[in-house]
Amino acid sequence: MTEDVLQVFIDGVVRFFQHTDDDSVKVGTPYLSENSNPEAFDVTGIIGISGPYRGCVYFTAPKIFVKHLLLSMGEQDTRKEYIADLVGEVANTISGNARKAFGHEFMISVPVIVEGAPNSINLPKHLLSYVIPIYWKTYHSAVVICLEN
Amino acid sequence: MIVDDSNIIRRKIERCNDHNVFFVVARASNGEEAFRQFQIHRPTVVTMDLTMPKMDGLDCIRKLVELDQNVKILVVSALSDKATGIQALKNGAQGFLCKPFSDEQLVQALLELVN
Amino acid sequence: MFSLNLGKYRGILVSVALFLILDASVLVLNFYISFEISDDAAGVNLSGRQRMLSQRIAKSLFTLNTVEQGTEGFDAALNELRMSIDLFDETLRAFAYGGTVTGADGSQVAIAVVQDPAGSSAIEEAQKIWEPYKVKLDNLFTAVDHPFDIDPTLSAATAAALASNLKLLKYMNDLTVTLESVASSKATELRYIQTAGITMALINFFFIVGHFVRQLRDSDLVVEQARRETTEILQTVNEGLFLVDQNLIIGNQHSSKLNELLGAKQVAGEKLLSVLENIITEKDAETTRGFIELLFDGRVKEKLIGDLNPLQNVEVFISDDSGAFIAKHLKLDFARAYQDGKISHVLVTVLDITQEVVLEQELEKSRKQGESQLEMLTSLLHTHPSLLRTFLENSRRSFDKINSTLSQPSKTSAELRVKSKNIFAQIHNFKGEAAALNLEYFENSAHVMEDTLSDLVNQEELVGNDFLQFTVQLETLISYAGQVEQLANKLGQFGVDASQQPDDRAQQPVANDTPAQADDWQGLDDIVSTVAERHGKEVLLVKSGFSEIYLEPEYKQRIKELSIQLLRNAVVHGVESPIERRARNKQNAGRISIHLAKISEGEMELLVEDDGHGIDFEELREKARTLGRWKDHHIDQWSKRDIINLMFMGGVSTAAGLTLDAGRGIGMSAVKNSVKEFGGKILVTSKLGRYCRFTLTLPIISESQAMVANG
Repeated sequence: MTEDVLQVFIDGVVRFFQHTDDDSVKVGTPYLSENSNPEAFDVTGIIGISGPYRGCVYFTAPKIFVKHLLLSMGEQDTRKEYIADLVGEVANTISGNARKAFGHEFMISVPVIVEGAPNSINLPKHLLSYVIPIYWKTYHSAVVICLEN
Repeated sequence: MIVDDSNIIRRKIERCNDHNVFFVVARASNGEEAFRQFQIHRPTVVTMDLTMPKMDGLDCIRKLVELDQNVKILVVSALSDKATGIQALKNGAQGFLCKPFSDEQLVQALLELVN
Repeated sequence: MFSLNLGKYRGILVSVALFLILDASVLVLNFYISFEISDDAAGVNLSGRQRMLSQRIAKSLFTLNTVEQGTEGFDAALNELRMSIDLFDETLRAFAYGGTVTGADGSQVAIAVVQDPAGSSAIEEAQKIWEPYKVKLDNLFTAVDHPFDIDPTLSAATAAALASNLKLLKYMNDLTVTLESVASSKATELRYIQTAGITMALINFFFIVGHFVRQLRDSDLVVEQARRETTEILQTVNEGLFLVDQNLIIGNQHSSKLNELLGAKQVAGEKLLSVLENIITEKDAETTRGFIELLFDGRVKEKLIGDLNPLQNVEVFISDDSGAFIAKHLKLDFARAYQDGKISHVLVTVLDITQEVVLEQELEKSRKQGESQLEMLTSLLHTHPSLLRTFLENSRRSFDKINSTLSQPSKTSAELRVKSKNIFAQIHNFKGEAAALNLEYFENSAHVMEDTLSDLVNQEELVGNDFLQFTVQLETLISYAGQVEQLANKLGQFGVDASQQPDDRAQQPVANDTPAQADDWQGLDDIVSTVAERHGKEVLLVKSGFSEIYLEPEYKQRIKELSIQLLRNAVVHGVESPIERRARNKQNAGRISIHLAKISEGEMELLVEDDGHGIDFEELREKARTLGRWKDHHIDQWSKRDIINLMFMGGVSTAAGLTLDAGRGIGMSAVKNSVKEFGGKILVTSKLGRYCRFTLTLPIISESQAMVANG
């Protein structure tokens, strides 16, 4: 996997936070995690990727993070569905950015929202995932990229 | 007539003709030369490379067909760009053989071309 | 085309022709007989007139008898008699011999000779009576015209009338009846003919209808059967089959598998390229259009353009519910379809070649893996198996450490810089070990990663994203290490990893060494010779004391890392090249000694000494100047101690350029950090042109608890 491919997904998340008029978003140092013990917070939005690389990319964050994000966007309602919607929106932005960058070569699925870590089907055990921490205000969240070619 | 800018490929094509099914009347290493040779020798069958210095294969095919509507042209080229191959056939060639090819394949293709 | 199809339709055509001929002949007969009947009707009318005329003649005679000659009534009767006689005679003769007579309306009517035997005999009989009767009547007229006395002739004529009149009437009546019966028999005949004709026409009609229906039913049956067979074929084949026309429109029929293969609901009648729109690239679509156009061009040889088909392997993706994709490989074959010798359509066959492609890919993958494994194997075979295992364990540990350093949250540029320095030191250690075992791939990778990290250290503003390149490199390295480990395990299974032989070799020269301990220090010789070779130097390594002190394995590993760092430093910076050494009257081979000795219950000393050119303090001072980090007058005031401290700082090095083994100035800072970590001390002694000695005083740690406490 090349940095360029990873960068596209990172840019997707950053782009999302740019829409929130709050540029305090920071990208942490990327590290690796074993898929037998995937990195995950409370809510996770997953998009499936296929084409030259295949696997999945997910955005995962604690509920409290998403709630705060909702409030900061002027949304008063922080019910479960809204939280899921927002995480889906982040995932959508990631996939939109990827679609723009990769063109037709890559196939990108619509986001699937789960609680906790993604299904093990999407994360082959023998691979390592890239974890890119995303810091916003005092919160931690992450984009996790698991692709094989 | 054999048209190819690589003398190795020209020799390979010529060598395929061991059984003397065809009689090689001329060889050329670029389009312009091919056009001149064609006017002199009037071959019935031409093997044509596409990427060549001076006039390329596409232009050369068009010119040869203008000169002789019945000429049989076999494009012998690498498959880097299928669209160019298709254009060559639209310009008047009748067949396409992909490089690299075996002796057998070339002879079969040439026989198919004249039948 | 018509003559071709006549065969099939001959029956029907003959029947229709027969029907028409029949109708025509009935019509002709009808006309003919109708004319005859109308002729006969004229005859019947005229013969009826004869009856009337015979009676009028008699009546006129009787009138002449009763009126005075010369009166008006006499003349009128005479006139009437004359006319009646002429008309009767003329008509009778016409009946007997043919001719024309004056009709009721004064026009001339043609009369045919009566053929009927009863009719002609009646006419004959009537003539026999009429001839004498007419003579008498003619005499009467002669008398009237001359003027003789008319009485005798009148009474003779009257007598003849009395004698003939009734007979004549009877014969004329017979004639009329006969003619009437002839006419009516002809009408009957006409009815028969009409009935027969209509019957035959009807029979013919039913035949045609029957024939037609049967033929239609038969051909429908054939069509239906063909359709059923086609449908059955199209429903059962495993390939997608369809036809496209010259405009690239898909035909109305296609195999049901096609929808599944293309993941499209509506295919029939659609444009091929819009169906394929989301599956193939725009460029391939354009090429496909060109390719199909070639197929419709009869001049081009179909067999000789197969290579140009752009859709020999098309990858399609179908997403499932969980967001994952299933990839399929399709192959689209194109073949000309002919109708009446002309290319009418192109038959497209869509094949699912996923299995073949996957198999091919796996073969390719295992081939590549085989190649890289072979490459690995050659590098592994000359590495001692237990050393290799230790190396791999250590690497895994250092990768974990690097990764956990990476995962520490750090947001400021300064924090990130510290992070990159820490990681650098870790990678540097790893590189040292890799070099020790001559594992070039690992060594080279680590070197490249060091490059990446030093770029980061030198960058003014650091953000987390800048580490991406490094993380990618780390991942590649980890997965390579994983492959090496797999291969090493396989070799172990095959018994190549029989540690007997190397152990024996290690045991013999140093009899006193505990085998397990001595073994681990073996790598030092390798690293020194590797590094020396790389730098064109000759080195003799003398080591001692390593088997005498038992150290906790992890701690021992750290000490080994320190030793490697110091030895490498000695080879690169200490020992001169053979030419230089000869010039200084030294042996070609430099001598490096490394000793580990217990100096008290809890302390030991690690000593590394080389007989090279020693520390050139002035050279280091110059180096410091070029770095531009310090003011020149400060540098001038530096003591030797300050300069030695400089040596242990990151970022200062005396080697001319960056090489794998030296030149980063981080190795020595890593040594200093480790010694500081263990609570030890470093002493450096040197004499220019003679030697350089590093003496490290370190604690002896033989139990893991102690290690944890100190580390």
